[in-house]
Amino acid sequence: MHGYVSGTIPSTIFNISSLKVLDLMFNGLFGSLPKNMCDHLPRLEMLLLSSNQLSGQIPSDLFKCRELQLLWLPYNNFTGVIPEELGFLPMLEVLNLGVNMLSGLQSLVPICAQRHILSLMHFCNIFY
Amino acid sequence: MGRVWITILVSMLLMSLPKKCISIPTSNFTDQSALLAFKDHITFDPQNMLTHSWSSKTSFCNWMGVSCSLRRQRVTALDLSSMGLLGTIPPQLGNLSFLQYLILYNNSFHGDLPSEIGNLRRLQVMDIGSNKLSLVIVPESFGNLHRLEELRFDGNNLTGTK
Repeated sequence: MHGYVSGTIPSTIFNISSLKVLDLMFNGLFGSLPKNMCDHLPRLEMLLLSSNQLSGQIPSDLFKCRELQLLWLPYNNFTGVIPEELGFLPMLEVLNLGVNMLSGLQSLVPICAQRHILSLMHFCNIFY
Repeated sequence: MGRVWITILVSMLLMSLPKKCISIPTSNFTDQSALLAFKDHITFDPQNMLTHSWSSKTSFCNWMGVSCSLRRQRVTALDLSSMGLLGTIPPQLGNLSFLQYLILYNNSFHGDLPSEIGNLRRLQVMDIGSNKLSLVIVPESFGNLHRLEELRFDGNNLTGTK
């Protein structure tokens, strides 16, 4: 039973409070993101969790990760409404929530519109 | 008065000398044995990189993929990315107490991560992506990595089996 990350994201990782970059893309991760995941990750700048089987809602508390610049969550099974609070992330430059089962895409419009960065417009791609 | 100063100087020298004489070989020894243990756990090295380069004939600071601090000559970085290595990560890796960068990206390391990695208090970057490692159980000791800024563990299932 070895070979890869399979299961939920080990909670220990969410307690490494010095983390700036967390890259767990292309693994067999399932389960949901903890609601209070930013409580112990105050310095997080890049969160890359694409191509897993993560489900549940994208926690609205993510806006508490004030340093977040890149949020890369495509190719998962996230459901629910995209939290408007993501718009309050002051440093966010790249957002990709594509290929999930999310609704409330209209909340992305102001998020994307308020940034004048080309890459953001490019990566604000939601696959309907 | 001069004699007092000389006595102080000499005693300071005596106090500092043994420490240096003892501590440097000991720490060198620790790092070298940790690296040799690491080498022992490599079961396949297609380019014979470690076989040729990681030899006791030269200082481990000159071994391929190893970087040392200038002053203390302790291992600060281990970068063995994309070398086709097959093997496991031994607990002795946790003895590289000055390690800041652990880059094993794109190899075929498998098995579990030893909890001793949590002893690497100076670790800033750990990139063990594109391997066949298991992160099912992350050692609790990872919570001790208070300087870890970058944890990359992507793509460990691409070729792995359940």
